[in-house]
Amino acid sequence: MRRWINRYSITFGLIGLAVLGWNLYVAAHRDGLLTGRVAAADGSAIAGATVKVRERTMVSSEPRAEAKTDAQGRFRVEGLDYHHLLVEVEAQGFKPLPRQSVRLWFRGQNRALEAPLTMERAG
Amino acid sequence: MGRHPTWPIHLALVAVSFVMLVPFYWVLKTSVTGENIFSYPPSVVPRDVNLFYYVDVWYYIPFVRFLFNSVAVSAIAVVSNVVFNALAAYALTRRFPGRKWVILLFLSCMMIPFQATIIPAYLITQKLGLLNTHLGLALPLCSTIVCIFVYKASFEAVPRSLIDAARIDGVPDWQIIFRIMLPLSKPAIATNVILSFIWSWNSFLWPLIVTRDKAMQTLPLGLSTFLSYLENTTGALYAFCVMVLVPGIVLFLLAQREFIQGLTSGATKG
Repeated sequence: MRRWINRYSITFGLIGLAVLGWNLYVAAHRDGLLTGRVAAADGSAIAGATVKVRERTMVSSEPRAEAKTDAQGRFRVEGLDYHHLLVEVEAQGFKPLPRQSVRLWFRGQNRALEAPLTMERAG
Repeated sequence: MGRHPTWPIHLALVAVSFVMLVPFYWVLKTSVTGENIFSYPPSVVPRDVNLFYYVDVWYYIPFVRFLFNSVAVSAIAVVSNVVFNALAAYALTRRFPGRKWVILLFLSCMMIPFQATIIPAYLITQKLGLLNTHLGLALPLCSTIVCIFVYKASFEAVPRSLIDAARIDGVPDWQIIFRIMLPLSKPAIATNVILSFIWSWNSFLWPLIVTRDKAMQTLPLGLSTFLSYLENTTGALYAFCVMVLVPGIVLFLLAQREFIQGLTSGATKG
């Protein structure tokens, strides 16, 4: 038994364990959900805003999904099997929000945006 | 008389090490910052460090497929080097007419760059029907002259009486190689493994020529994917370089003791 414990078996064993652990974590957190909140500069919720999600590829970006915010300004976008997202928001009476980059550690990672997407009033 | 101070040597070694490690540091730094190589002034200390460029590499190219191809090609190259080079080196330790000429031929072949023999190598691979296969990708690296001489130096250090005793007992040559010579030449085996692994792992030109479809490409060929004129792909490019380099560095660090022993064995032989 002892002859099998050497720097090679320990190194490759640890790498194998790390890969296994990471894959288990990915399997448990991979539903492709993006949630967040859209608010005005004064903090009030913006209902009915359109949240568009694009996939950022190496040389371009492609539109993938969109959702509307509810009365509390919350949105939930599903089925995002991508690892680099661009989020843009449009709402009547507000300036369009420039694209926000959302980087994920793996495709389809569930992500809740902590800070609200803040929009400026038009005019 | 006191001993000469060692600090000047250490200072010189530190300076040389620094110069040699700077490019590695720069690659590592750029892979986590994505800083454009043309940005001026360049920042020595990394800013906005993140590992997302590694994630990009994983998804922008079929990394797992390329990794599998590289591992398969390297495994073939390593195994064939360990076996074939041992056979060749054993033959060169025996006495036979024209032995010196064979050694001279081997040494002179080392001076011919691979680029000069790439067309005949391609034609041979084509005739064998091995284009676009793992075996075809590994073929030119299946035996290397440097590694043969590493084995030869190690085999010559084995006491002659041991081989003679085996011969008297009727042990055939192939068993002498695999049961006596190789177990006594572990550093030489490690050197063969490391050198053949690194050469096959980093090989770019040969895979570029013999692969026909993307599914057969090896990791170094994936580098071209990140050479974009349209977008700044610097971070992903450098992250990819690190991902290609890491297996070779890990293997070297694990086997460095045997590697150095293998390279220096026979060095003091008269």
